[in-house]
Amino acid sequence: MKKWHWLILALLTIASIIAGLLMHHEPPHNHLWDTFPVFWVLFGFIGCAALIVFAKKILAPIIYKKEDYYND
Amino acid sequence: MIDWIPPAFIMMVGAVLLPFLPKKIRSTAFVFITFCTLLVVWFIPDGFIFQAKVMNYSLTLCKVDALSRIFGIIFAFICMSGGIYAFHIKETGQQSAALIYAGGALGVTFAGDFFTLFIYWEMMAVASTYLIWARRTKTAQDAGIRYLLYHVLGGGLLFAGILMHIGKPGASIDIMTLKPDMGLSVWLMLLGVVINAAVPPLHAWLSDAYPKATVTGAVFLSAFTTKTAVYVLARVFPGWEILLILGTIMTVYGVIFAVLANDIRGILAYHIISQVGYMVAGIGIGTAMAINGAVSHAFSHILYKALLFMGAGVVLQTTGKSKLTELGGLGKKQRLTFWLYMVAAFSISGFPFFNGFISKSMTVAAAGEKQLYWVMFLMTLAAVGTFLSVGLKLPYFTWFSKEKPAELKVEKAPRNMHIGMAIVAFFCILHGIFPGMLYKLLPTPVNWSPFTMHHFIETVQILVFTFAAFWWLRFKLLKPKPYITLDLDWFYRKPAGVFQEIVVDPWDKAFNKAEELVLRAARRLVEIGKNPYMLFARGSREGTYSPDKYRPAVGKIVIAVLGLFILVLFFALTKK
Repeated sequence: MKKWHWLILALLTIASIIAGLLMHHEPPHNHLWDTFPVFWVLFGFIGCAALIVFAKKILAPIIYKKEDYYND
Repeated sequence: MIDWIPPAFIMMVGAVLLPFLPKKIRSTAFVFITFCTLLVVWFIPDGFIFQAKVMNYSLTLCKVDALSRIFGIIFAFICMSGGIYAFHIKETGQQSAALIYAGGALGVTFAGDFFTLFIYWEMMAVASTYLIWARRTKTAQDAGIRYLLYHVLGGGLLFAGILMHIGKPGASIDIMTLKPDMGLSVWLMLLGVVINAAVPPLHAWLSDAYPKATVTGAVFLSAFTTKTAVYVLARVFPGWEILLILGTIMTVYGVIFAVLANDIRGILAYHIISQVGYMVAGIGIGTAMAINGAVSHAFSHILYKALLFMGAGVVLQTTGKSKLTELGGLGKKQRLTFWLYMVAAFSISGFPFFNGFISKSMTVAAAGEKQLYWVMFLMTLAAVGTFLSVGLKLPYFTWFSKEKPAELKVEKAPRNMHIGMAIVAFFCILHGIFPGMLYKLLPTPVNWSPFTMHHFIETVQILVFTFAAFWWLRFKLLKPKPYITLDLDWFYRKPAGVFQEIVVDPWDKAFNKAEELVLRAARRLVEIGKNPYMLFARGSREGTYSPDKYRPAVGKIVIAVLGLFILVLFFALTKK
């Protein structure tokens, strides 16, 4: 990832937040998740991290097996 | 006079004729047959019915309406694209099996009665098993057997349900919408169908077998079995609440296991389960919009999932490897493969202007419309996980992440593989930009557009920050490990140990102890039998009776006899 890659992503995020602030939220698009400006930013970041942590830290110790586990 | 042929017939006849054609033109014939089928499916008029009389039943071998047509189109199309992708394969067995498999899928799709449906259903099971066996490794053989067993079970349940259903007074064999309160028969049928839809806890066959199939076989497998099941669910079981619950669980279940998977086709297989979850849940919601969402998502999904399996197949074909831990740094050598794969990855992740964006969101919106917010959020979480595994983890650790390991040899892929991929990729983008082309094929008219400001904002923020979290944790936590995961079998492998300790072992011990005691007693008895004197003699004892050693002195015997005589005499005299 080069610097300008990150710049594009940052610009996209800022644009999306501004667009969210400027637009009207009419029913049925007036829930918390429609109106709170960075809701989906948090959802994406926390959701992704939570999935990784849950799978790798909680589930993996229980179900990871060596590749020849079934062979005997 | 029949003016149209049922589409499944073309494929079936093709499958039978193919082995008799010269080897050189078989691949061309395969593509030609599937193309003809596609034309027939596209142009066959609504309401066309083809019936045959078998004994007392009149079977409806083909019945066309909008729902069956849209599934028929995508099945025929993907079989054709798969044929181009597999053009270099000169193995008649695989080619014929693929045609029978696709023919079976079309047969189910256009079946007008439950018997016809069941017959095609079983043909699919058998033909698809061959595509796993054709890999010709021990692992593939074993996985094929397990796969077949699962589908024989599913077919059996479906058939049992059908027989019970038509046994009811006044029932007909025609396919119709069933309701949950119609008794055991419909639940048996549902069970048979959800096995094919890989609904947990009946999903293990999919993630087990698909990664072990042949390179080209997996492409066909990814398209037909689960999606014919989705078709039957949409046709027969719309609006069943249990499907809503199971489908929503599926979306997240597949995603979590894909995070742990190391085999690239294993990751994709778990994402079939996740994606089919959207369709199953959409059918469970049951509104016109939700069914449209489910059906359009099935259509989009078949396109991009086949493309994903094609991309992973090229990697396997050219390197012989399919584990992320053994791959890496292929980017420079496989630029075209990478970008074609990424079209599918962007599609499945729901990037704007790719076909996942226009179909997945319809199902999610339908859940929101019915105020099923927990469904909506779990589906969105699954979308995050989809981008994470299919859009980021798999391509990053396959084509980038490090320099190519020196021992990793990369062959050139046959040109036709890329042509097949490009055709599918073209439609992924086309439908993403012009969703109307897909929407006009749907069973009910669509008054909904995916291109709204809310939807764009949501998608951009989710995708950018899923990427950010991936980048942050990619080496810290997400790095692939050379392990396999237990799945459903955890439930009988792990508790099996506890069960053994609590229930089996104590009995085992008790029986062992008893056995030991009995044997010891028997041994002792035998010893005593050999020499009863051992019971009395003190000091040295010998195992066997020897008259020389143990014979008592004559005097002792005389005294004993005399004593006995006196005793008897005494009793005899005193008893009067």
